[in-house]
Amino acid sequence: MDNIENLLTKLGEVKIDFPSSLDNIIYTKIKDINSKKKIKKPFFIATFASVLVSTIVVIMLAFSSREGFENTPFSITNEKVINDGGDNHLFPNGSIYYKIYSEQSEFEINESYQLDFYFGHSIKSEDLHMVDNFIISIEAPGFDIISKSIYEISDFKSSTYYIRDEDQITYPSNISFIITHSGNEDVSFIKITYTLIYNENSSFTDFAEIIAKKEEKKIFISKN
Amino acid sequence: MDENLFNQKYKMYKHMIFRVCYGILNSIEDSEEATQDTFIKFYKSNKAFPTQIDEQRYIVRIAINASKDVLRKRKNTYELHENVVIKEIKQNNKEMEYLLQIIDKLKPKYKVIITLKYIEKMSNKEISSILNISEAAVRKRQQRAIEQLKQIERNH
Repeated sequence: MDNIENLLTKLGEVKIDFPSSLDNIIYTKIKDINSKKKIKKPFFIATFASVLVSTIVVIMLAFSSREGFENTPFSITNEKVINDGGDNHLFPNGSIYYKIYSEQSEFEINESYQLDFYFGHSIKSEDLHMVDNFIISIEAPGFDIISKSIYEISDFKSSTYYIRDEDQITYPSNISFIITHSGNEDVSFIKITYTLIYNENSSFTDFAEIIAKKEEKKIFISKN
Repeated sequence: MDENLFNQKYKMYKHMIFRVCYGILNSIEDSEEATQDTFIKFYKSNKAFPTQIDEQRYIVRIAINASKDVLRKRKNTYELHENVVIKEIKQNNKEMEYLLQIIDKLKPKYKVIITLKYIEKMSNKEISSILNISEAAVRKRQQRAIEQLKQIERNH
């Protein structure tokens, strides 16, 4: 018998036939994956939308009772939604405009107001590894932003979460912005921008857009 | 990844991936499972690569890991399957049959080296890039694999 090294050099000559039945098995599995994706997407969109819209309102009311702030209710509506993907889509990397109008009082010039927001970021468990970061920022024409205007939530995965559905996890974040009405122009809206930062494993097509419902919501703005 | 694009990649890599899995698993049935896992993971990863070499390196790495997973799953029940390839070798070359049997007794990391080096005929540089180890480490691992094969042969 030849020595091992000599035999090894002949190993590449061993014919290893590819089993033809494997072609169909793999093609079928790929088609299955695609069809599942197509079914899941609308469900995800609808659920995400309802989480975000509903949770903002509920927690706003809770924060408004904090001592030390004089609560001034204003109504806001998500009047307009802008996204590169088209009308009515917020995610990924979209913005939502809340129209502001006074119900009981006007914004007073040079007074500061605190806006408390609650955000529930719902992410499908299987997609969680694709998201590294979450950024929330505010623009408010007519106001000066006294607080940070951009919040980067990079540690959201280590924070408290709750299971929204079997395959979705919701991470809550509380964000406060403090603004002062400069009096330079009429106050008409604030713009909140949400940005998901994807990592290198991400697949943008897997992350669906959110549809923002055109319904009136109330938040409470605390006069600081 | 678009299905048509996947089909192109599948045709391009399927033979190589199956051979890599077979070299590590020495079983048609297990290699089919590892090959399936490899292509599904590759499809789901949806990655774009600057060059075809990078892509090939990536998919071979998936195949190695998928084969190791299959080995782990079947650790306690795994036996050499007498399959089509072995039967063919038996008829033609007793020595090659013997070699495959002793290769199957190696640790997975040594099987990987033997597969890439002698079945896929890859250079040490290519292996080093796939396994993410230095070329010196590739040479050392190859040397140890051969020493172990000789040891197994002596004890046989």
